Amino acid sequence: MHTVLVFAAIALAVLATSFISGILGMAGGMILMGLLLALMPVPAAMMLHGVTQMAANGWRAWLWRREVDWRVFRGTALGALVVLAAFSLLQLAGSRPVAYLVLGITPFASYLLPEGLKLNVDRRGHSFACGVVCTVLSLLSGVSGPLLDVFFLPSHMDRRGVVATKAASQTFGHLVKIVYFGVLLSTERGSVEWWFAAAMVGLAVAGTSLSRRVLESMTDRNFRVWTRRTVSVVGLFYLFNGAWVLAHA
Amino acid sequence: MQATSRNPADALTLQLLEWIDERPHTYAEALDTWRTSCPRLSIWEDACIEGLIDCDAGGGKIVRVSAKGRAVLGSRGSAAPGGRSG
Repeated sequence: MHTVLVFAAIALAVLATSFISGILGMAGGMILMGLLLALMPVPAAMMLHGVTQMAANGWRAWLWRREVDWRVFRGTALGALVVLAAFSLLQLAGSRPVAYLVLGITPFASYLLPEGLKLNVDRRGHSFACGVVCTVLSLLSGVSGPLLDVFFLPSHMDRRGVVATKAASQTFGHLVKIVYFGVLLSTERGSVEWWFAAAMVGLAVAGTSLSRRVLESMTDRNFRVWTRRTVSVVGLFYLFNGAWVLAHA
Repeated sequence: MQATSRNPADALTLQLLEWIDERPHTYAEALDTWRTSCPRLSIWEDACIEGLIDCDAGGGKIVRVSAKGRAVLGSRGSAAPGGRSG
């Protein structure tokens, strides 16, 4: 019975967060990761999050595949593979409070970066650095979106190129996460039933479709205005949550 | 008011306005294209707050550059580096 309840809670979380993500355009992945961490062991949470997010990003990357900047993608993929090799060698796996802490810090990490760095995937070596930094974050907390945007948004690629290349890079990043926690991490390997993962992907698609209907009927401008604060509020919540658990461990 | 002298967020705001002005886009399409989870670069959200964008109330929810947004577009210098819109 307990397992059924956990499965139901996870299903509800996937549906709700894909709905939120579809409307706000942000925070869905972060909220989902936090909920999964609360409901499952870290490796399993990482895997399930990876599967649902890989499906969403993979579909977007496939639709826009002609717009992908493969030079940038190669850089981010190479960076991701280097980090994957390092993590595999060291068998690093963060605990739940550490995952919450990193998850909470991630949205604010962009503020900590010096202005002079001028991060931009257009610049030589920056796509590789982007792959390294984002994969470290992804393997520790499950998400890396806020920092990925710092590298991609200032790019002079056209908008389709940015969306497509970001989606391709994120698809690869989630694949790396799944491979690490499902195959390479020998100490506490995660596993997710294939039928359950498939059902969650279906629910994520349903949540996004539902959000489209709401978007079509939405008239309140203020509804869009406050959404940018969502990520910061969610980040702060995770930060305090992680710190609290660590302090009382 | 060239984008070269602006901060990256301003250049991106110009890019967003040019992208919207290029052809009609739906709200969902705009969100798909400009979504970000980086609170430092919330270009879409900031443009909404500053009233640079209007959104049709009817079906399809087409986003448009507002009069204020058009003024920003009109006051920009020659080709902004961020102006290559998709």
